[in-house]
This record gives sequence, structure tokens and C-alpha cells, in this order.
Amino acid sequence: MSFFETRFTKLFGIEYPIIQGGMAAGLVSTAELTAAVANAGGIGFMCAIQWIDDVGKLEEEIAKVKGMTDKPFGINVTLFPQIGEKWFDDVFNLIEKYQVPALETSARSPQPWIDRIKALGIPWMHKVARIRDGIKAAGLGADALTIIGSEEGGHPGAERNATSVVGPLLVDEVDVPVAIGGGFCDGRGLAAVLAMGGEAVYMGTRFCASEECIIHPKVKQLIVDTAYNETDYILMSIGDPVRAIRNKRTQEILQIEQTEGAAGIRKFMSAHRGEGQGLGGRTAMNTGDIEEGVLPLGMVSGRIKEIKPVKEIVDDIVAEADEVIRKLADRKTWKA
Amino acid sequence: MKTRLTEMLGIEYPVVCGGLMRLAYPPLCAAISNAGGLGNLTSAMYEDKAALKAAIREVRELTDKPFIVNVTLLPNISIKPEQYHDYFEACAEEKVSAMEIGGVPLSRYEGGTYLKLLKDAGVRLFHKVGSVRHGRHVAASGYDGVIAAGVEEGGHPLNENVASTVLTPRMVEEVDVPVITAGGMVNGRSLAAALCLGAEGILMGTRFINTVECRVHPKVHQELIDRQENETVLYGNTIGLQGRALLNDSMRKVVEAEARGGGLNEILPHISGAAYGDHIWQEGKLDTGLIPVGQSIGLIHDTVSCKELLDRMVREAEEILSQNKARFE
Repeated sequence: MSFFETRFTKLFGIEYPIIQGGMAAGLVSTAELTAAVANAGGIGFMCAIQWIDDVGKLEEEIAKVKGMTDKPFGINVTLFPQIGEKWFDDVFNLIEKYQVPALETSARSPQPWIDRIKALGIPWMHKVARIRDGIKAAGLGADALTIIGSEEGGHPGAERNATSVVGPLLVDEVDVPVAIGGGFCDGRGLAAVLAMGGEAVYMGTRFCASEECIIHPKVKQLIVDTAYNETDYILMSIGDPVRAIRNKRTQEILQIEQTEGAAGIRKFMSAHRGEGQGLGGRTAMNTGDIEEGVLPLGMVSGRIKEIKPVKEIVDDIVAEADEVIRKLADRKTWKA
Repeated sequence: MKTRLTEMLGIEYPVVCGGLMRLAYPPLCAAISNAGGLGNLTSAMYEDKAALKAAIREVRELTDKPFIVNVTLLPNISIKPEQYHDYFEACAEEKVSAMEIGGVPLSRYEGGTYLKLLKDAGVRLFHKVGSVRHGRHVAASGYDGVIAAGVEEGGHPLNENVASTVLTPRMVEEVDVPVITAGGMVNGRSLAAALCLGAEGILMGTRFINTVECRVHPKVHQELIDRQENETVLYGNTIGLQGRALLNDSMRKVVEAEARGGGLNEILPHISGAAYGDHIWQEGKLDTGLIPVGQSIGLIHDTVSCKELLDRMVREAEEILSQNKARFE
């Protein structure tokens, strides 16, 4: 039996209720990171969209993870409707061919792909930022859900609801196990997630600041150097907000949004198309251009002090959560 | 449930009521304290020293337990500077157990005169902050505790917009005094989660509106049950004071005016003192005016007595923490 058993660990066959979410601003959640998380006892998801232009590279990456771990890992399929059907078809075929152990979907309703997803016959988690999307995905048969609050990096949803509220709320609304993310990096976070009724902690930024993650060392150092109040929430004007570490580029974007609105931002984005995903250097995660690029990382950057090996990150979380919960349950004084 | 906060104040549960304008009158304040928490008496509802003193005595008629008096030192067109002096003097003279201060820290207010006056009177001082820098400052200047208010709270969350999951543990790392989590706190799970993040208590405002002892029009209680977590808005950034309130006709106008750069004069009628007047709380007219509640409304499903609320929360938190400990055994 798992040390930290929840319905989530049982569903995915993992030791600890710790998830590395799929990340795709350049090459971030690759075989190196995902295999390391699997070997440490958690589960990691590789974002298929990282190889949107070449599904063959995704195939190589899946083969690579399988060579690095015999533990469960997963693929994230970002359901952007503008991606052609063929690409999704290819990705689902690869998941079948390589018997990938787990699936994470995100970004849009899984409805259009539901038959394909169910036919895979593997544990399936859908990630949402809104309660109603979570209820809908549970109704469609998702085996587990992730809910993230507005503090998370990347795409935290347009409603700007905090983790403290949406975490417990989704737990109330659905019967399937819920992972909670946005704002967490340590054992306190795991303990808090379990207290909220969540059954796994979902993290991205913490795993970016790991030795195994292949992002540029400058970006890892930037996470360590960034304060908890130094992220920006950009692109709200076009309804697809991103939280990223504050820099020259995010400030420029906010300025355009303020003065020229959605039209100005669209113009800006199309002028920079070709540099990453239309945003002007989102791939800065890999190039290390920390001023000119958008670095979609969370508020919790301000609590991350050290770049560590993934195994150490996971072991430290488990040890700290153990300590926090024991102290509180001892009830001499309620101080963790 | 013993924490440094409960020990310091001699209360049963580490649950504090935040300042609630036009709501935190003596009956609600005393009901919360009698139920084991720390009730709030909100000073801005009283005109002068004598009126606040009379209210303090009224609370004391209703309970022999400690309570906390709120003073918010933010720009306010309906409170005169000397009224604040009155409030601090009343609290010092009455030797109230504790004060919740918001806005300008007492160390930077009138040369620290009132900080000294209140400390000499034995009043425990707590300051509500949205940033670690402010938390460090008030802790160093002699406050007894820091209230870490996440952006999800109603009222006036700091425009750094940091949420409770990050702000609380970051604050705990930086100050030695007890940290109280505000923002998103509503039930036993919130309480347990805040304790896990290192807090030694929680502060709730919105949740206490939906208690039997908070005497408002039944429509107010029903509204907070019906409305969801995504139905509050942040406003006020164009005039230099961010707030969070329930989305209604007035707030739609404010948001729209701010988006096109409408100035203070256009916005002010919707957000100044009269805007959150008794037409809302006592007459249940909810479409106009300012209803400053937090995202926690999504988790409010009933109206219960303060005693039932607090007993239920603490029972739930204790159960959760015991169950989670069982995972290790």
C-alpha cells in the first residue's frame, strides 16, 4: 500500500499524490522531467502540443520516457480547437501504440473526443479552471479532475478564482478524485490540498526549477530570484489570460492592453508570429531570453529557493507534509 | 483548538471576524465571541469616542469574552481625521482585548502616538496586510500578529493580487508573530488548510454575514447563498484603491466606467459610504450599491447561528487533520 494512499494514487498506480502537470511553452515537460517524476513516485504528464509540428518527435519522446522509467507516466493533450483533427488522431494513436499509462486533457471540453478518449481504456484526468467545466467533464466520464486557481502560471482561467475557493468547491461538486493546483510547491501545500479535500497536489513551476527539467538555466535561476508578488496576469483583453513572471515583455503587453485593447494586442501578436506560439518568444523558456520572452510561471515562484533534483523535491514534499500533519494532529498546539 | 492566537487572547477557537461595515454591531460581535471565536466591532459605524465606548460597553453586556475592534485607516470621505483619534482613545481607555487595523500601520500614523497608547493599554494589535513587506514592517514595529489577506477576500485586497495559498506560507516564513489567514476562508476545510500552510488562525468576513445573528434582510442571506465564486469583481484600480465586491448593476457601471477611463467623480457615487448603506442590508435592495464580499460566497450554502458555524468548522477541521494523519499510519 502506498504511504500516502488516496483514490488518486490508486487510480494512477503511483506512490505519492504528487502530479507534474503538462507544460508547453517551448520544451518543458519532456521525457527527462516526466521520467524523473515517475521514478520519484509521482506522476508527470508530457504535453503533446510541444511537438505540434512533428508528431514523429512525440513518438521518439514517448519511447524515450519508456526507456527511462517503468513507472506510470502520462501524456497531456491540450484540446485547442484550432488544431487540426489529424494531429489529435495521430496523438491518440501513439498513446495506444505505446500503451501510455495515463492521459491528461486540458484547455477545452473533451466532448468532441470523448469516444476516442474512453476507447483508450487508461486512467483519464481532465484539467479545469472553472467549476462548471469540472462538473461537465465528470459527467462525461473523466476518472479524475484537476482544478487550478488563478495563482498558477500559464493559463489560470479567465475567472480569476483563487485556489482556496475553487479547490474545496470542486471537491464538493463531483464524486471523482480531484487534484488541486495553483500556489503549491512544498509539503505545506500537499497537506493543505489534502485538508481542502483534494487527493493530489498539482504543480508545474516547482518542477521547472528542477535539475532534470530541460528549460534554460537562466529561467530556473529566475524562478529562484523572483518574489511572490512579481508575476503579471496578461492577455485578459483577448479572453485567454496567461500568468507569467513580470519582465519587460509582460509589462509591454499590459501597456498595449491598457491603451489599445484587444485590437492592439492582436496586432502585436501577429507582428511577432513565428517567434514561439505567436506571442513573441514564448520559447524563451528554452532560449533563456528572460527579458524579451513570456515565461508562464506561477506566483509560487516566490516561494522556491533552490533548484533541486526531482527526487529531492518529491521526498522533501512528502517529509514536510508528514511533519505538518503530524504536528497538527498531535493537538498540543495547532502550529505547523 | 489551541494556537498562539487562542492562548494570547484567551479564546476557544482560532477564528476571527473581520471588520464588517454596517454589520459588525454589538449583537453579532458578542454572538461570535460567545461561540468561542473573536467577534468584531467595526468602529467606523460610530460617530465619536462616546458612541464607540457605548458600543464597547454594549458588547460587554452581551459577553464576558474577548472581542476585536476594527479601525481601517484608508482614504474615506465620510470619516474625519479626529474620529480616528477618538476610536484609538476609546479602545485604549476601555482596554479592549484586541484591534484589527487596516491601511496605514500605526507606526506610521501620527508619529506612532496611538501605537504606544494602545500597547501601553495592553491592547493586542493585529494588522491586515496583502504583502510580506508590510507584514514584516508591522511585526517589527510591535504588532502582536499579522493578518495575511489574499486577493480572494472581499473589501480591499491589496493590488499586488497575491492569493492565500502563496501569501500565508510566505508570511509565516518571514515573521515570528502569529499569522492569521484571510481571503477564501469559509469552513472547516479552509481552517485546516490554513493551519497546514502555517497560519495560527483564520479571519472571515463574508461567512459571518450568513449567520442568524447578523441582522440583515433575508434577501441578503439568500443572495450570498445563490451567487457563485465567479460573481465578484475587482474594481478601483483606476482610482488607486482596489476593492472586491459582488457583481451587480452598480458594479457593472463601475467596471465599464473604469474600462473607458471614467474618472473618480463618475465612480465615486457607486462605491462611497452611502453606496453600501442600509438599503442593501436592511431593505434587501441588492441591484444598486456596493456589496463588498469575497470569492468565498461560492462556498456559502446556509445561514446558521454563530455557534453552529464555529462548532461545525472546528469539528470538521479536527476530523480532517486526524484522518490525514491516519494516512501515515
